[in-house]
Amino acid sequence: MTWVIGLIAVIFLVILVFINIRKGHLKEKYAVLWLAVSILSIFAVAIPQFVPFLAKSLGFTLPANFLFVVTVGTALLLTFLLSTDISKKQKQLEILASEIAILKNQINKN
Amino acid sequence: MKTASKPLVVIPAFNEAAIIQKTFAELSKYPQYDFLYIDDGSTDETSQILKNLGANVLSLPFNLGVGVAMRTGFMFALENGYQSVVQFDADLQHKPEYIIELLTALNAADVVVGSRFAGNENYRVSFMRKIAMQLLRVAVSRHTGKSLTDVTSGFRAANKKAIEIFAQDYPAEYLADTVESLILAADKNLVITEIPTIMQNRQGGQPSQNLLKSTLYLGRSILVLIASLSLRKR
Repeated sequence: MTWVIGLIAVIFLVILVFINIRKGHLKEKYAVLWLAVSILSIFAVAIPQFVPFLAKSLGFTLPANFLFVVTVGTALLLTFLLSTDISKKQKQLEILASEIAILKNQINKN
Repeated sequence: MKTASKPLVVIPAFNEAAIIQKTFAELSKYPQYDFLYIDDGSTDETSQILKNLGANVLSLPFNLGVGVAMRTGFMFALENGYQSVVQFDADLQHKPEYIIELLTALNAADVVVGSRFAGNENYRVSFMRKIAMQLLRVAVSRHTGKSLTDVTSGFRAANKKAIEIFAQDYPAEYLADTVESLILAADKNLVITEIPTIMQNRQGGQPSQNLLKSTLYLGRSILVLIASLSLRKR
C-alpha cells in the first residue's frame, strides 16, 4: 500500500515537472534541479533496495534517517537558492523602478 | 553628457503630505539650487501636492525605502550631469541654510555628513537609540578610520566622484542606507568629513521614538554592525 502511495506521488511529481518545463514555467536551473529530484524519486520507488543500499553504504542504521537527511538537506538548499534569487530580483526591481521614474520625469518635462 | 552648474538637492518623501507644501515653500527661497523631490511610492497626496506646486518630482511606482529613493536621485544626477548632490529631509528637520555649508565642505571631501551632535547643543535621542547609534559609529569608524559623531544623519552631500559610485550601488535596506553608504564610500577610498548642523524639531509626521521601534532599531543596528564586521577591514 505504501508503495502505491509512493508510486502515485512520484508520477505526480514527474508529470508536474514535465508540464511546467514544457510550458516554460520553469527556468533551466530549476528544471534541472527538479528533474534530478524526480529521477532520484523514481529510483527510490522503482528499486526497493535503492534507498536501504545507499543508507547502509553511507553508514546510516535506518534508511528512514537517511531519507530525512536527504529531504531536509534538499529542501534547505532549495529555499536558500530561492532566497538569493529573490534578493537578486529585488535589486533588479529597484533599478527598474528607478529607471521608470526617471524616464517618466523626463517625458513629463518635454 | 550634459553638465549642470547648480547643485542638486534631493528630497526623498514618503507620505509627507502634511508637511511637504511647507518644505517646498521653504526650499523655493533658494533658487541657487535645483531640487528633485522623490516620491517613494507614497499612498497619500504627497506626489499630487508636489505636482500641483510645479515641483520637479520623480515618482517611484511603489515604496522601496529611502535608500532606493536616494539611489534614484544619484542616477538622475549622474544622467543630468550634476556635480554635487545634497540629501535633504522632506519633513524639514534639516535647516536649508546649512546646505551651503555642506557644499563648501565638499571642496575638501567627497562625502560630507551634517552631524546633529558634532559640537552642538541639545539634540536628544532616546536611550535605546543612543546605544544603537554608538554601535553604528563603531562599525563605521572601523572602516573609515575616522571617528564620525553622527553616522545615521540623512543630511549629507556628495560630489561627482561619490555620485558615480552611489548611482551604481547605493545600499537599499532601511537604516543600512545611511550607515552602509558611508562604509561603501570608505571602501571606495572616498574622503568623508563631518560638519555640525543644528536640527529643527520635526515639523510633521510621526517621530519614531516609541520603545518597540527603538528596540527594533537597535536590533537592526546590531545586524548592520555584524554585517560590516564581516566585510574587509581597511
